[in-house]
Amino acid sequence: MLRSGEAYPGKLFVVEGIDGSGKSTQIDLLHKWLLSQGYSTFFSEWNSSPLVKRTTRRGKNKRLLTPLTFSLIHATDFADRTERNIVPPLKAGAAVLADRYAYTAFGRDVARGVDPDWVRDIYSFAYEPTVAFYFRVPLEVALDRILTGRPELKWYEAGMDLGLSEDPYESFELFQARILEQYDQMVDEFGLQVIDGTLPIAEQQAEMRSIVRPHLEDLLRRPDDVFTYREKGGE
Amino acid sequence: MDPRMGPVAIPGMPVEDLPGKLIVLEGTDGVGRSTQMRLLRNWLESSGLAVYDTGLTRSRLAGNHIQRAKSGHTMGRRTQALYYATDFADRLEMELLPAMRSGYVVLTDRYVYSLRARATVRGMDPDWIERLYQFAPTPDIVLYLKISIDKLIPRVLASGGFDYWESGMDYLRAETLYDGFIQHQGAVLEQFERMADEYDFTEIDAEQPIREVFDDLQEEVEEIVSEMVEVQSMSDFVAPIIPEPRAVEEERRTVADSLRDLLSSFLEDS
Repeated sequence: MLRSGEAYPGKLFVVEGIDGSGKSTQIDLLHKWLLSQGYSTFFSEWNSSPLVKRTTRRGKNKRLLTPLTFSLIHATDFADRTERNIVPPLKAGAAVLADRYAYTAFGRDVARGVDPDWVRDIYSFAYEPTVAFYFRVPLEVALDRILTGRPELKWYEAGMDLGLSEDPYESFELFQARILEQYDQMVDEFGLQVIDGTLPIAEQQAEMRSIVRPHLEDLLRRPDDVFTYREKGGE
Repeated sequence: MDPRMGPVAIPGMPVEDLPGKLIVLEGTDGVGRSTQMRLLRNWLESSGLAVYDTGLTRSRLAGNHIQRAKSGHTMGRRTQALYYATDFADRLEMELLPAMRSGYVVLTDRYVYSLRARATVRGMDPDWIERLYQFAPTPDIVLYLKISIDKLIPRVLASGGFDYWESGMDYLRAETLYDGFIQHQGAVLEQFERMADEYDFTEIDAEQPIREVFDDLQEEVEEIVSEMVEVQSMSDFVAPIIPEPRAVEEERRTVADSLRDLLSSFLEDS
C-alpha cells in the first residue's frame, strides 16, 4: 500500500493513536534519546507545512472545510512535508521522526465518511515507516486524559462538522470512538507496532527504545556542536 | 444518486437527482474558450435558462502560488497537484453542485481534464491523478475546442504574447518562452487527445472563425438543454459576437508605447 523506503539509508519512526493516547510524549522522549546518542534526527509534525498552513487555518477558523476538502488539504500538507522534510533527510541517512503519519488521515477521514480506498490511494506516495508505533488505550482512558479540566475543544477536533451531537464533548467522544475503530483495523493491515498506552511512561519508552535500537546501526551522526532542527507548528 | 456522480462518493453531500446540467469547455490556452463562454452564456440566458459560469484558470490558489514561487517557496509537483485538487473540490462542493441542485446550467471553463493534463505533463503518475479526481461528476458534455499548435501561435501573439505559466517555464528548461510554449502546449495537447477518446469528448474545430465555432457549440449544447427549455433558434439569436477588437489593439499600442519608451531611455543613457 505504502511505498517501500528500504532504498534509503535513513530510518523513519512514526507514532499514532487517538488524542490522549500519550504518543506525543513518547516520541518526544525518543527524540531526546536519539539526540543524546549522537544521531542526526529530523522531526516532522502532522499539519505543519508552512506553505499550506494559511489555507488550513483559514478553512478551520471559518469552518469552510468539508470532509472532502479537509482530507485533501491535509494530503497537500503531507505531500509538502514528504517532499521537503521527510524524503531528503531519509536519503541523507538521518532518523526521521513523525508525530502522526498517513494513518491519522486514514483514521480521521474515514471516520468523517471519506472512502477508505480512495484516501489510501491518495497517500500511496507515502513511504512506509521503519516502525509505526500505535499507542493503544481504551477510549475512556484517553477521554479522561483529554477532558479533565474541560478544555475548549476546537470545532474540527471535536468532529462537530459531522453533526453527531450538539454538545462538543459528546461529539468528541463519538468521533474519537470512530477513529479508534479505524486504528484497530489498521493494526493488521499495516503491521502497526502496538504499545500499551496505559503502562507507565518509562515502561513504554523502554519498549520503544528496544524496538528502535536494532535499526540505528549506520545512521548518520550529528556533529557535536550542531543542534537539530524541529519544525514549529502542528495543530 | 445522480448517475453523473463519480465512483468515489462525496461525504455529506446530497446528490439525489440534480436537475441542472454540467457543460464543460476544454481546450488549450489561447484557443478562445473565454470568448465562447461569454457567447454561450448570453445565448442560454436569453433563452431563459439560469447559467452559472465558472472557471478553473487563474484560481486564487494559483495566484498565491505564483507569489510564493517568487518569494522562493516553490511547491513540489505532488503538493501542487493536491493543492489544485483541494481548490477544485472546494469549488465543486461550494459552487458547482449547489448550482446543479438549484437547476442551473453550469458552464465551466476547464474541468478536471485540464488539471489532470497539467499534472501529467509535469511528470505525475497519470493513474494516481485519475484516482485523485474520482469524486468529480461526469459532465453532460465535454466540448473540446481542438486546434493545432501552428494555428494557436498567431492567436496567442494577438492576445498579448506568451505567458510564463502557459509556456510551462516552471518545470521546463526552455531557452525562451516560445520554445517552452511549443513544448508545453504540445505535451498538453497530447494529453487532451488521449482523454478525448477515453472520455468521449465532443470535438469542436476551433480553427474556424469565432462565429462558426459558436454555431457548432450551440448545436451541441442545444441537445443537452432541450429538455429544460426550447432554446432560441440560432438564427434568431444575434450574438454580441466577436470580442471588441479595439480593446486588443489598444493593449497592443500600450505595449508598443512602453517598448518605445524603454528604447528611448536606453538611447538617452548612451
